[in-house]
Amino acid sequence: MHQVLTIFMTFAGLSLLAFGGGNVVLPQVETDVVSRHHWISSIEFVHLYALGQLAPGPSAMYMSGNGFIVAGVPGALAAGVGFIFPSTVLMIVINSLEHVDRWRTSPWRHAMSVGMAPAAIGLVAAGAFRLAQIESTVVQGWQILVVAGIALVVLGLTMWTKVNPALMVLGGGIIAVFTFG
Amino acid sequence: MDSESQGTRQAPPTHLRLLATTFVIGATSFGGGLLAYVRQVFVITKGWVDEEEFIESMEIAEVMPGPNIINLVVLLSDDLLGVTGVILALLGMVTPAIVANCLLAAFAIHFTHVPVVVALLAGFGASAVGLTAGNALTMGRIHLRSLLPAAIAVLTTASILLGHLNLLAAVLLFGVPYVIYLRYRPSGGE
Repeated sequence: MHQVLTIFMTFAGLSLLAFGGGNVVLPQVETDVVSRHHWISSIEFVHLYALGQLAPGPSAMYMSGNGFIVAGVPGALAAGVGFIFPSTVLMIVINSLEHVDRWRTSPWRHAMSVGMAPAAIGLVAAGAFRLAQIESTVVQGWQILVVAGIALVVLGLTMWTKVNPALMVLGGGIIAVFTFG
Repeated sequence: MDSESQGTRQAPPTHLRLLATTFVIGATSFGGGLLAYVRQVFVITKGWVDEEEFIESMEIAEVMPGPNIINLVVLLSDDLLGVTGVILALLGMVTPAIVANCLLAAFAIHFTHVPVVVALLAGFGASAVGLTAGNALTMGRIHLRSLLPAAIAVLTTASILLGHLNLLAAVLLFGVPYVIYLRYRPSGGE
């Protein structure tokens, strides 16, 4: 029970810092679950994050996969619900404010939507670097070329096409099976 | 919320209908695209909210912390059926995702010794790297068009990777000051 509570608090603590979407917390989640709490290994983290892209619904719910490994279904719920609970309460409070309509024209809205973006992009990029670092430690020899090739092709497709991300993850897995196997 | 009905605006859903609808969305959306999906269902198919309301909610949802799609569904369902509606809508939205992630996680830990699964997961991981880097660069293409924001993004990445800066510090050091700068700089908006 204590551990489930720790999982909940860990993910809830990231919720109100996720300016710019769920993925900005990626490097911090990795630090928390791997280095700080030693719940899973870094490569398990990469796997769970990648598998989360194959699941339906909001992609941030890869976090429940992390919680599941640590404490089963209660852990999964603690992680998934923990991450969205504080931000949900904040949204309900904001929605109840009388002058919520004025927000649209507020100079703060523009400043926030534009101003948080560089830090958010830097955070997501840091997350991508961490994933790449970890991924590169588990493949040996020529396999690194295959892995790098898959990553680069997916990067290009993400930037210049609208191919479904879940299909790209699936495709990358299939290519790896055929080239490694 | 009893503004004049416009277009195909319909009566609010029952609690059960809201739960069932968000469950279907949560269970059948793969690889993102959720914002468009929610708009399609809430605005077009069901007519529970009009376009204007949807955009207003979106504008709040995207600047507030937390996953944008969750924030959006919270605002829309709160307007429709209050806090009970929020709980039901989120239950529908995330339950399939949580179940799927548990199953996938169980699969990953039970078969880690099987060579084919090792290769499969390595390929998934490689794709996830490309996907995440691609997302960062796509956002960068839109938001980092001048030196200052680009420098902030690079500094943020470097501080996290090299200086082990935590998320709170990153938001306070690189996010908040730039927001305040944009708000009070004399030249106005971008």
